[in-house]
Amino acid sequence: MIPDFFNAQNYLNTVFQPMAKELPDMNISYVAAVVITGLSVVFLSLVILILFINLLGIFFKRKKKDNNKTSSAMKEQVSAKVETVKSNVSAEKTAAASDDNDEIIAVISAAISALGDADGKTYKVKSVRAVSSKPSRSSWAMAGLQNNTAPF
Amino acid sequence: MGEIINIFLDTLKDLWFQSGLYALGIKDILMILLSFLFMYLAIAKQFEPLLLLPIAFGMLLTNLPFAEMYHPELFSGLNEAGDYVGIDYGAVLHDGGLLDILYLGVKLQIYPPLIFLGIGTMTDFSALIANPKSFLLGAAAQAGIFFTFVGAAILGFNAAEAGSIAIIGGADGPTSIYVSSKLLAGGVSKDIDTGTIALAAYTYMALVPIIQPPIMKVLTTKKERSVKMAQLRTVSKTEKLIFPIAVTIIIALLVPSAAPLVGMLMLGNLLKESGVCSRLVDTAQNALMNIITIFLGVSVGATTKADKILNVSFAKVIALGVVAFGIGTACGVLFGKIMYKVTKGKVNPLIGSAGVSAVPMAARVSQKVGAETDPTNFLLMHAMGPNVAGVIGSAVAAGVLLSVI
Repeated sequence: MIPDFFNAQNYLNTVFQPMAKELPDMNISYVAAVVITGLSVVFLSLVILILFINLLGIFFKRKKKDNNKTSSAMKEQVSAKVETVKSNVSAEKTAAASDDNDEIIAVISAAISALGDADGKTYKVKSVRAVSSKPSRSSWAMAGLQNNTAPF
Repeated sequence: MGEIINIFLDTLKDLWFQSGLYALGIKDILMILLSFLFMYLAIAKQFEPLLLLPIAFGMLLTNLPFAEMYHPELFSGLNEAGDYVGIDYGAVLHDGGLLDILYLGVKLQIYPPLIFLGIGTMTDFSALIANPKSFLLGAAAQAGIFFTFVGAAILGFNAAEAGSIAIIGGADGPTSIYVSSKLLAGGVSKDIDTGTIALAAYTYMALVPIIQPPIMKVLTTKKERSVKMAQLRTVSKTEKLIFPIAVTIIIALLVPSAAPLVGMLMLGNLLKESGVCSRLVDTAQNALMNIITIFLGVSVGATTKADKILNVSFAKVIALGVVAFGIGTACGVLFGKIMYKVTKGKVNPLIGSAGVSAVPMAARVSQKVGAETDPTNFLLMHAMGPNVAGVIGSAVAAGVLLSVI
């Protein structure tokens, strides 16, 4: 006769008898410990992530500066091209005349001129005025914002 | 002739005893009516309909007597004598109905990480990378979780139950399911199960636009609400690629029990940011996500048997859930106020409430409340930072709860 010892089911039942999970006592010190460890671990982990991302940001800013130096020669070539485009466009500028604005006006004028080619008429940009003297979000930024926030 | 009539009557009697109508009790009827209420909220009011509707229908199916689609006794782990012997998964596969099999994904914590994979492919972390201080707001809003733990302890819940209720304050459905299913395993609770927690969590997530604004308005002044924040810097592609890998390593090393959730979230994000796995991204954020949502919703709904819902414990869970949400929102806003003071008025405290991780609903609420004060103020992008930080934060908080309890 096979002894009970070799009965697999009995063996499993005696050796691997699953136990209901033991839980810690809910006394004041335990609850306080959970709250304090919880909050500090969450803050600590996220602070470590902040430090890491800041480091990453510093690193990339530096890298960008280096890239800017090397590409400055290229930029000069591009701006020369923009100058030739601008000379073909009669744009009277009353807005703040920074290099960026000139570039944008040149591109928009070129787009309008291309529109004229399509329907056989010639358009001329006569003036560019700022909508309000108060410095606010640019209309490009507004359009971008509206585009991004529309799905919500 | 008399015999025919007898057989006819006997058959009718048998049919009656086998029908659900015979076994339909008042509790079942109440639960079926409750499922109708959730269906109404999902369809007419559009409260998180993608989840609430499958949950409501699961609730209907499970409370129809004799439909035998879900068997709670298979998952109780108790034998006939009432001793805990562990769940016999073989028996679940052998004797289980459709919903039992689907529920395995909840019980074995398979669905929540997969949902996080999908969320990862839909999340843009640039707002957080551009303004890493948002992480602090994401952490502050997790305070709701730990203070609710205290509340649950006072109301007499044991550690596992208290942890499961507290995680509702993280405002993150998958995390709540993940944590409660792990904590409540092993027959530690008679009254509360994962279904109860999930139902409360998803109900409150749907109610975010109603719960949050009053708290936000009470805690802030009009001047603070009208702060316009500076435009965020552009984030390079390399930073976006390094972010998911680094977060996974850092969080998994610090809080290993948060690894399944954070790891899958970041895998999804890396797939998206890499730009070379568009087919996988498409599947993860559409097909896979939708399949898991259906399975999760209907099986969570199935666990809401009358005896689990119509009792005092569930009422306590509901009450503590709203407290958890409120404290989380308040702590986020209060921390936002501290940042407002420290940065001398550059941070709008309203983005703090987005630190509870209901994405993107909480960020949308910040945007809406900000726009009520000043219609030209766009806080959405700034609020997305704390919002996605909240997802990482609540996953970390989940890890902490799992390792402490």
